[in-house]
Amino acid sequence: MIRPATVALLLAAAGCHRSTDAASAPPTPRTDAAIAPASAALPPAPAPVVVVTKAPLPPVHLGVRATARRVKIFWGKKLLGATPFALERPRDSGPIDLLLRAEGYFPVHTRLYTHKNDAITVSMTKLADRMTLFGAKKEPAPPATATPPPAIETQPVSAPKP
Amino acid sequence: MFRTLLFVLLFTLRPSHAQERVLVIKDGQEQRLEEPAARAAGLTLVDLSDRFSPYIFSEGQAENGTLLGNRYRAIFLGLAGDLTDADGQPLVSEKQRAKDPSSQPHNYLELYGIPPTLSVLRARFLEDESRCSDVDFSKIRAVTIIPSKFPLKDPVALAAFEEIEKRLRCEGLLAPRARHLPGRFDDALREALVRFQHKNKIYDGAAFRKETVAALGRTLLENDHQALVRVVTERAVAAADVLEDGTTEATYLDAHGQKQSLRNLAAEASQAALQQLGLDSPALALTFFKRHPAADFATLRAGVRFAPPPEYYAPHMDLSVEIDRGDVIYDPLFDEHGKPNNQTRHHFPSLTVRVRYHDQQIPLVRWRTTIGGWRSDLASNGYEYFRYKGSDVGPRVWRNIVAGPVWIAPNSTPVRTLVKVKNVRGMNQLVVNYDEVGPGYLSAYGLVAAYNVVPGKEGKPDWDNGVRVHGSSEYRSMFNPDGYSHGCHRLVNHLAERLFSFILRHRTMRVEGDQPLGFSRQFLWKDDVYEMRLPTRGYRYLLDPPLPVTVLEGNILGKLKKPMAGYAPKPGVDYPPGPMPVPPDSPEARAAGTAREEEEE
Repeated sequence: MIRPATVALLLAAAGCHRSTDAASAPPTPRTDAAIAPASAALPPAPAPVVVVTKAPLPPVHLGVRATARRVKIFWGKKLLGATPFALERPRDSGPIDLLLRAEGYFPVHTRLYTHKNDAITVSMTKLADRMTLFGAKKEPAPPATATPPPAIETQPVSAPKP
Repeated sequence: MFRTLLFVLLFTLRPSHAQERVLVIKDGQEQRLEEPAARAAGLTLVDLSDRFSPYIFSEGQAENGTLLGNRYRAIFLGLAGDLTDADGQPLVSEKQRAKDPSSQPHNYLELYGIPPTLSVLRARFLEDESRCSDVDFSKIRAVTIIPSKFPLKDPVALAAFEEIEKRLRCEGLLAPRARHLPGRFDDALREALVRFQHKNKIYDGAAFRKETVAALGRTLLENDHQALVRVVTERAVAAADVLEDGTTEATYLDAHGQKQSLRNLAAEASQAALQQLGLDSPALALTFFKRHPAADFATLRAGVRFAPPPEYYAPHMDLSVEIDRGDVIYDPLFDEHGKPNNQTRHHFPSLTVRVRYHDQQIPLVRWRTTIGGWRSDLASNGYEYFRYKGSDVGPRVWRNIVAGPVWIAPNSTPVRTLVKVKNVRGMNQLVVNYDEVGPGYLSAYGLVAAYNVVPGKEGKPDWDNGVRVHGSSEYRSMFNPDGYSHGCHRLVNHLAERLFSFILRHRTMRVEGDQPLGFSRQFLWKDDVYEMRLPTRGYRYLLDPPLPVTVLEGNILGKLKKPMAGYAPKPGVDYPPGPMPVPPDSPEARAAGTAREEEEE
């Protein structure tokens, strides 16, 4: 489950330390002085070594519950188990897209995050309750009794509230 | 155990900027100066390291000194360095790496506001030096466009097309195993062309138009050099901390009453950096990259002498923004017979940033933006209608600027735009389209957004109509004469990054950091339920005082002089019986955007 490459890449990308980047520094005052004399010039520096002692980040604890019983949890093709379910993942190892399935219910696609501990309770909807879900469409009018599209209203939008 | 060792190694081997000496080129020779010496010499430090991110993604401190981590910064750097994908996960899996150690996919996200790092460009230069030597670029240069009608009949266009096919293949954009039939503009070639456009920051659709063909006619190193110029420009503009880019022409009176012309400070900074670092030709840039191993770019900073800024520059500048809506057409897209209404505009929306100096309003930049128009909207009955999603006018302010903003999709957003196909552990499946909500470069709010609000009076909260000024991945909407938003004013992502970085550095502001959200909602698409979970709103900065913004009404064209409040049916859709639903009136529903819709329309 541990993906060292993931952690390494993220750390490398993040710089692994609290930098003093030009971007995060306050604007620099500008002067017109000449370039420093040759004595100030130095040969190329070897790569400096900064010793920072920092403990590795602890893993995150993730949990999945559902409003139906024994809901199967899939991560891609892999069946992780059934609810209630707990797992441990490396911190900041990316979001986990899960699919929850149970007989007689709509499958639910959800996501866990790994930047901190995350626990969810997924609401499962029975197939018979389709119209309670947002996005469920009412049946269109049958062709024989179809009504023409309603006329366009031309009321102006109300003025912005103060 | 392995992880512990890895962490120790990473933390012990990473150098910091503070200890790195600064690269300076004097009399054609590279020198290294200690940072104080470089600064004392009047040089500005240009960050050429792979750790550079725009100021909006820097990590600030709370008032009590606590560091406020900016989570999107790591993603930004991973994407810029071709290290990770948008989820922060490796572009190349351990398995793939073991199979082919040389495999190195690319992100090509410059169009989306994430330019490549210098390390990526270095690899590109070195790789491209020996590529495509058998391509006859003169045959491509012999044409300015290639007609969209295939098979091609004009022998000159045909010869150019053959060389383009060859070029895309040897450049590694048309995979050897791609299903491409020679002489055809098929899906495989179209995909390769789009990758070429992304690699070269060409704002265009998948067609052989002027700019695309001109870039195809340049050698690989010439294009690499143009990419380097763009990257160095962003670094130099950030280091010089300037905004003016030649998009406005103006004069102003200085403190002595002398007339001064507005300078193009972005071009000045870019040219100074390129010239002083010896990067002003493809050959010189190649030499530079051969001289510097990839490891140099972990921390490289260069000392560059910039001309002093104009006298109106100050730590706190009296900035203001004006948004001109241009030509505005309220008439529906279709008349009552389903025939299209004329929607032609000649005057397009623009955003102007001004600074007040000695009672003069000096325009610093003027960029094309968008306004709202007729958009698809999901009604309470589950059907889509057209609705006019306008950009409101009048005085506003920006109080909040959010880096890596999250767009909370309102219920009126067509559900089809909220799902996408994703490969989840080797299996393609539909998931919530988090690209669209963000944080991320494809977010409907782009990589950074400012909130247009009417300031509340007498202790009342600000009034927010849901209109934002933000970067956008929908770059074509800003250049297309028929391009509209859902009410927001979109900017090209890299300009949005420049603008808001500049504002944050020239206004009094407070870093509020990551804004936890804890939002979730479910929706049905086909026969599956999707649960959208949003843990953050983004990384927030608070401007205090807020920055004044004025939205001008523009020129109202067409028959209607006021926007319609209700829905307009879409031609060809069978709607359910009964009255048409009434659209919701929440700020999010009035003006909010989906980015992907335009690609489909």
